[in-house]
Order: sequence, then C-alpha cells, then structure tokens
Amino acid sequence: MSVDARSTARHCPRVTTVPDPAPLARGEPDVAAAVAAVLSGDREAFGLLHGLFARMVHAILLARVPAREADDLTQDVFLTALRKLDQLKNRAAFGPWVAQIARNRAYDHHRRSRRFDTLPAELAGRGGADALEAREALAAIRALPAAYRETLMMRLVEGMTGPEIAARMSMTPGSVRVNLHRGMRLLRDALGQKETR
Amino acid sequence: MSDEYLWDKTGAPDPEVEHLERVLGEARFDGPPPEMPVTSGRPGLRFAVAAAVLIGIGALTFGLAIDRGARPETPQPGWAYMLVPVENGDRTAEARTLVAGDWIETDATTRADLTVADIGRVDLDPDSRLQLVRTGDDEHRLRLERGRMQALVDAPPRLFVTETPAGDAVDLGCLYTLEVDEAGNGLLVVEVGMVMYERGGYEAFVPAKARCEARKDKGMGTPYFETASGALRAALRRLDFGDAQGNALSDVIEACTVRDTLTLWNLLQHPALDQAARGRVLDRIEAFKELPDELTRDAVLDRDAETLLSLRDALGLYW
Repeated sequence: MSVDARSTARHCPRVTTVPDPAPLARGEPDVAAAVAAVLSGDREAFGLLHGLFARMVHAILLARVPAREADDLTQDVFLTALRKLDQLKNRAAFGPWVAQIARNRAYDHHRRSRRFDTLPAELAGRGGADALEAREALAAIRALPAAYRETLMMRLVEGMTGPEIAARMSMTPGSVRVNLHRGMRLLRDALGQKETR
Repeated sequence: MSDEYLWDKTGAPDPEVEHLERVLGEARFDGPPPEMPVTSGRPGLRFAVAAAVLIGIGALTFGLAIDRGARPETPQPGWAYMLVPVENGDRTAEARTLVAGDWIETDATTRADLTVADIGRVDLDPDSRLQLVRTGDDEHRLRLERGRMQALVDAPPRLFVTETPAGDAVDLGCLYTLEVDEAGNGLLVVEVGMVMYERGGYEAFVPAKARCEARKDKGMGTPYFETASGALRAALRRLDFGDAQGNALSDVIEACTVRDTLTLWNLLQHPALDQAARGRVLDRIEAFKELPDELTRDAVLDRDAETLLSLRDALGLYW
C-alpha cells in the first residue's frame, strides 16, 4: 500500500457531501418549512435562515478569505442562495447546500485575486498584542485541513457550540466532536510551535 | 483541561479555548440579512424562470443532437461546461455536456468552465486541450494534454485524478493548478489542500503553497515550497532531471531550511536515492527536528509507509 493510500482519511476529511439531514431535534427550527416560506416571498423566513446559517457561512469564508472581505461575501452567498433556492431539491439540506455555495464563492474570490494572504491583513491596522495574536491564530487555523479549519472557525470565531455546528452542517455530532478535538490539538501544536521558534 | 467546554461550553472552561474565543471573537459575524429582492418568489417570475429553463433544456438537447450526431439511447453521465470568450468574459454562452471520451479544446480567444460532477470545478485556460476519460462514483478522471487548468475539488481523496504526459495529479482535496507545455512537461502548483503527483509508483506529496515540476521523459521532480531559494530549485532540477547530477544531492541538502523539510521528506521516497543517500537526507531532517520517540531511523530508511506518514505529520508543523 502506498504512503498516500494510508493517509487519505487522515488528511482531507470530506465535508462537502449533502447528506440527508437528521430528523429535527427538539427545539430545532424547521429549515425545510423556512425554505418553502422564502420561496413564496416570506421575508421573515429569509431572516430566519440568515440568522441560523450566517455565522456558519461566515466561518467557511473566513477559513479561505481575509476577514475584511468575509462579511460582504457572506451577504453575497445569501443573495446567491436566494436566487438559486428553487434548485434546492432537499429543502431540509439548506445548510450543507449553502455551505457549498460559500466554498465556491471563496474559490471565485480567490481565483480573481490570484493570491491568498498567508498572514491575513484584516487586523493589520489595529495595534496591540491581541490583534497580533488574532492574526497568528487565524493564520494557524487556515493552515489546518478543511474540516478542522471550518469547524474551529465556527467554534472559536463565531461562538457556535458543537451541537449547533452539527445541526447547521447536517453532520453527526460525533464527526464534529472529532473535528473539534483533533483540530484544537493541531492548533495548540501550531501555536505552541510559533512561540518556541 | 475540559473537552466538554470545547464541545458545548459546559464543564470547566479550558483557559486556552476561552482566550482564543476572546481574541478571535473580534472577527465574529453580526451583520443583518441582506435586502431580499422584491421580485423573489413571485409566482409570475418563477413561472417565467421555469419556462425559460425548460426552453433552455429543449434547445440544449436539440443543439447537442446536432453537435454530436447519433448518441446512445441510454444517457451517459456527463459534466456541464461552457466555453467563455476571454475578451469579455461573457458567460451567457450555450451550456454543453461533456461525456467520457470527449475532448475540449480552447483556442487563444476562449477558456472553458467545467462543473466536475457534484464535487467541484475546473477552469480551463486558453490554448488548452483536455479530455474527460471517465466519470463515476468511484473516480473522475481527466487527461490534460496541453495547456493549463485550475481545479477546485472538495471530495474524498483520490476521487479526482488528472493525467498528464509526465504524471498523474491525484487530488487529496482542495485547489490546484496544473500546466502542460508543448513538450508534455508539467508543473503542479497547489494553492489550498494537497495533491499527490504520481508516476510509476513514485508519489510526490505536494501541499498548499508548494509546487512540483515534471518532465515527460523523466517523471516527477521533488516538490518544493514557493519560498524555496533559487539555489535549492537549481540543485533540485539537476538532481531530478539532470544528465550529470554531480553533487546535486549535497547542494540540495545544503540549501534546505527548516521549511524545506517538505523537500527532504519527499526525497526519502525518491526512486533514484539509495539507502546511503537517504541516510544523508535523514541526517539533515534530524538537524531540524528530532525523530519522534516512536519512530526508528531504520524504519524511515526502509521507507515503512506508516513511519513516513508519522514523520510527515511531525514535520508538517513547519509547513
């Protein structure tokens, strides 16, 4: 067996499939119903979807583009989703669907700019140790594999809990827990490594 | 330290997680929803859109029937693509379908945008020639004969493969650019994620911000980071593709910095290096990073797969 064949699961965990969402947990909003309402022109329902998924979308973008651009791109993603909403076959799968739109949008952005800030400039204008630390932490998270990167952005930047991430991404709680745990371990190593250099 | 706090913010707070939450919370999103266009959801508009889509599908089907002549009765899995003029980027061109065996050839005035099944996209530059070899649940395979393509793939590793005359790029997830010149020589540049560049059982591991050159007659070279010095690049070309290698390995080893342990790690699998030469490479790696306790030098030099992977994980902190 080749080196790579053994490493596949370790390095690029799949995050982009659109699985059938789990049955609604108690207290979870009915996303499919909200999508149906938006399709009939309900603005409040659009606000509900935005409230539920905007931080997830922002985290996915932040994992790939500078923070100063992630806010605007988040809104772009929702407008794109709105335009394409009638193409969404499984309305309950809005979360993974809009997540993929966000990834594609980040790619478009990246392709146009043709470069990716290794050290994000978003906080460059701000002084202080915290700003520097934030830059380093964002850069370290961005260097992680995609599944860890997105999950940690949602948890550490957007303040989402593990169960919330699982619900929005239509992932199993176990997968999210593993991503958080392993991602955090890698992040600690990376940040510790920086300090000792 | 509590994993529960990391998981759902219950349990004893983990000070490091709390600290990162505070520092990174500055970048948190708190914007309002964008204005919903007033036309969205109106039945008349939706009917018009649906009608336009149906007309478009009809026109597309008719167009393909003319374009391709007799097609098999059973629909084949295909990818949607569009030829886009370079000059004005007009994306209203006719959507087409690419099935296994089909070629796309762009000239100096056009590029092509392809949708890779449900896993990503490929942008084909002008003056390029590309074939869809096959597409299916177990593998999507392209052949880039000439030109340049950029692929964004978010899928399980090894599901997406691009053949070139000099080697095959095997996607392990993410974003990369592949070029093939008129002589069939290749260049792989990885922007995000990682790719294996393979030929004849030799696999070059190319992570983000690294590149790998290849020659049609010699196969893959050794990957290096974009930050690699000119001296290292020159020495690698002599080692990988030169007729007279001379002191090329010594020059490579000499030019490597800690970040270039990527290059050194790949050299441990280089088909032209014998055990003694690999020992010199490992000496240089160990000058930067001690072998983890669980790894043995003999296992590294014997190219034990698990050992090499563990070593890669340990060195990856520098990459």
